[in-house]
Amino acid sequence: MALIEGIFEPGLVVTTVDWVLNWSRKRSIFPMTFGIACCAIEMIATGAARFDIDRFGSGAFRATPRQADLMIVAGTVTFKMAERLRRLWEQMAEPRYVIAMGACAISGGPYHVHGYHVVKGVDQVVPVDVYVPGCPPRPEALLEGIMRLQDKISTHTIAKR
Amino acid sequence: MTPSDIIAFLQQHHAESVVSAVADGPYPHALVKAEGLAAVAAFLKTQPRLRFDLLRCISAIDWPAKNNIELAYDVISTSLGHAFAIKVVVDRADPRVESVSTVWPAAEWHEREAFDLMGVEFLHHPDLRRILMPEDWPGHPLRKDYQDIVEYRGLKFNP
Amino acid sequence: MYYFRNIYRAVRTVAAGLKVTLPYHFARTVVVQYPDVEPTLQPRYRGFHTYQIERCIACEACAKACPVGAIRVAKSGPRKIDKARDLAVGGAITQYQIDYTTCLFCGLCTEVCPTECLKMGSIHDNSCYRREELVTDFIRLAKQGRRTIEPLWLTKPNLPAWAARVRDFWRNRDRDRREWMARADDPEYCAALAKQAAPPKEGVS
Repeated sequence: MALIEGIFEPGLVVTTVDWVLNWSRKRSIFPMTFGIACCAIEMIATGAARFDIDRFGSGAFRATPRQADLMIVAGTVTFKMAERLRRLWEQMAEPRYVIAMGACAISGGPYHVHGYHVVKGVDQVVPVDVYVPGCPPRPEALLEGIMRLQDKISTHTIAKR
Repeated sequence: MTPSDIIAFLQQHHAESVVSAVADGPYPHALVKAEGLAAVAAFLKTQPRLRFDLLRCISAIDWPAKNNIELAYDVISTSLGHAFAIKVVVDRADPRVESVSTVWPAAEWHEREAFDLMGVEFLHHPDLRRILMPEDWPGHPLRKDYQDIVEYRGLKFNP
Repeated sequence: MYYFRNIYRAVRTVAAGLKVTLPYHFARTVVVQYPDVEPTLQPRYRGFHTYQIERCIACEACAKACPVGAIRVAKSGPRKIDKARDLAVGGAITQYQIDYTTCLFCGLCTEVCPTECLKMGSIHDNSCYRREELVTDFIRLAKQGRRTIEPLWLTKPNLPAWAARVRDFWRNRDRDRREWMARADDPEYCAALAKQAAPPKEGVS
């Protein structure tokens, strides 16, 4: 995790610092420009004017993993792609989050039974924070996923556990 | 030209290569011997009355019961406005056929795909590598007797 | 000559295309303020299923129709519809699961359903933190008196008015049928229902 985490002794009251850090983190989750298949169209729709992901501070789609906090795995992950996906995830700076969007990313979806080349769930490759089911999910559902991620971020603490 | 004209023309010039032909029906085509494919392809492309300048698709069909793989080359002529297809049958155990990428450059990626998913080897192809699957993938997935892998680089196929 | 004709054609076709899209450039921008206002779902929107367990005869037609095998059904004996009470009686449903990790929301399961107990609902989202939460056990939901899933976002405090309305609608649905819903997996109860279900017809002793 980030440098500041885990350097304070347990018992030291850091709730206000926590609150400020989490507030700034969860209001600026920059996603990576990373759409693999058709769910990416819904992700683009979420980023466009009508649904406007900028209202959550997540509108800046970064073109490099170094600047991104969130990887929205929007689409089918093949075995060939899994290697690249893992590498991109490892290039992202801490703290990093992953949303598995759509049936394909969660479990293989329509390729679950007969797909010879599809990873059955992206959680085998990278740790997933929020699952957004749907085929594809509505843009509102992706916004809900980002709000669930914000809820998760707001429970973080920098104190030693 | 109508399909029957094309077939007659083809049989006139390449009688030794054409095995059989279907002129009517939804899919007029000629079955060509594998050895004569390159000559027939060049003939279809360059002959002024045919001028098949566009290769639309190469389809590979696996027939385990007949123990062969069928390749269908769909060609159309953009200038003369007629369409035709030629088929080649190769052995399933050792599928080899001459590449037509020198005649139609578009065939290069189609042949790579047929090699990747069906395992047909195209002789004298400039760059015959897998195009869709990873380089170290075992087997050819669209064969009827293909067995799903158990694990690929630590990723379980059925977790 | 062809050169100028091509230019004319290009300009004309681009203009014809822009005639459709250009008015949007001048139209007012509408941002859906999603968590505060209700999403505009079409009337035939295919969301998460609603399932009336007491009317289900567990014929497994939905499980067979599912292209990804996401539905698992099991029963203890044959069930049939009692038309008088609009109720399925006989055996018990011991398992009814829909795996929303693979579900495609294609609606094929609802089209083959003979009693129309399985329908596509209007809940549009079920995002959650663990993959296991997406495998939905509808018998467990029926014991809680629910027709459909209650996703995480509907359990939050301080919901906007429309979401509270959706939540209360599904929580208060079919209160008079709660007993049948809750005990649809009890074989003895379902068998007892079947005995009650045969009121003596006139002329037949």
